[in-house]
Amino acid sequence: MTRTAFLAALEQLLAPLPEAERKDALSYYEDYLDAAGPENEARAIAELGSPEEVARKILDEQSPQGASAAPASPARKPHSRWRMVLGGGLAVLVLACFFFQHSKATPVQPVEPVSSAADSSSVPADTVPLTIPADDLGESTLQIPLEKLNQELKLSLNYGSVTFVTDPSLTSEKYATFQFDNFPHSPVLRTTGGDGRTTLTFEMPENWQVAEDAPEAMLTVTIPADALTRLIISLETGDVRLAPMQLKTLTIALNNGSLRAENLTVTRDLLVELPAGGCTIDHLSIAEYASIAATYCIRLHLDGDPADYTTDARTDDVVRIGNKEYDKRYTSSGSNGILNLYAKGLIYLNVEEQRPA
Amino acid sequence: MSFPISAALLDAIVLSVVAQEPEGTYGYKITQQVTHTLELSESTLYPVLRRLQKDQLLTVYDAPFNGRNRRYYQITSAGRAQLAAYAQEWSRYRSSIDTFFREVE
Repeated sequence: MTRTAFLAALEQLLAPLPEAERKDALSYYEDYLDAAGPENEARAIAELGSPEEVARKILDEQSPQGASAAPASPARKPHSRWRMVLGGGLAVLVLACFFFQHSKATPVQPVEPVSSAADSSSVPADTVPLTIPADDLGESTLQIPLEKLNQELKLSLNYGSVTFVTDPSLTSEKYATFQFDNFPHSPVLRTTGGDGRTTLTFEMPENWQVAEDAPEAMLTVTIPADALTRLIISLETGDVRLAPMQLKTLTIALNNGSLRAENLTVTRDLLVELPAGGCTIDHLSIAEYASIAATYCIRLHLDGDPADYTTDARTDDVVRIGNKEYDKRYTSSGSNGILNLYAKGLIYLNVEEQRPA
Repeated sequence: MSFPISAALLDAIVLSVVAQEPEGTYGYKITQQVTHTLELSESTLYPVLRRLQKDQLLTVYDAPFNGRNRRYYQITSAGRAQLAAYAQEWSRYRSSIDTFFREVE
């Protein structure tokens, strides 16, 4: 089959897709054949398989009832596009509708699943795109039952900051409350999940601009301190603040923000990436593994002496531990778990800050 | 192949291949690297790359190459964090499976 015939057939087979998706796929395969070079073109086309096969894989991934994209399984079992665990074909269910409220006086409405998919053989629903119809900036509230997110909560926002509030009086709460303040209109908020997992995605349109003097956009999550097993936060612009909480795994990636946490207990993995931020943790208790990379300073109080951990703290500056200073690097090999720290700025471990009165 | 590769594992593999090239890498090269080691169809990779891009774990840019634009994929910081989580999870999974085989070899 010639290149032209292959691409023409593919274009036709991808007709059900939105134009942008179709163009993206075609330009990928044009690129692909260019990169293979004229001398390998025939072989590359043969290796790709028939246009029907290539198209089927793309359509499977795109369609709401996306069939399996697992390469080695010819069976076309329904699968979710959002696979959050290794080996898991997660059923996606429509978790929640989003209630936008202009008025603070409107009572918060608990959100119940619209449909549930108890096993992976049922057809998963796709995400619900939600457009917030508002002028300027607004606030809105979303409640999600704890059992829908107690295994995993994933927050992915390309605008705004996130604060977790965990008042001790919340222990009997059955819902997590997500309060959005000063978020701009017309973004798309989606929630997806299943099996105790929820992913909340907030995507601002690419061409959207917010005035520089706009009040800070803040998502406040109110939740019992021990309600979560795994929390993943990925933000493009904002910071993260965490009230005291206990969980098994915490992953935080902030492209342009900093992390500020109070008492944090992580029993398995703590992974923090702050390519343009710093990290302050008032009290950190880790059992197994923590890795924190920050561009500015890392300040944290460990549960116990850093020497009791297998620590590797590297910085372009100095590492301060208590009253001692180490140039560029501090290492220790204790038995209390692994602690990897990297910062361009200072690293302060268990340093008592002198706060201005 | 006796053991199917789950979509999450494939995501993890593609993330790690892209992560090896801080300046970015392109579809054909990624495909060659993955299929060199794993038995899977060349057409499997595009949907994976597209999904990772939509999930903001990869980002793309176009740069001229031989008089034409070529699309390059680069890992994002969220992608790196996800990759680290996958690597941890895989290592745990591997050791738990290995406990069954310890006596076999």
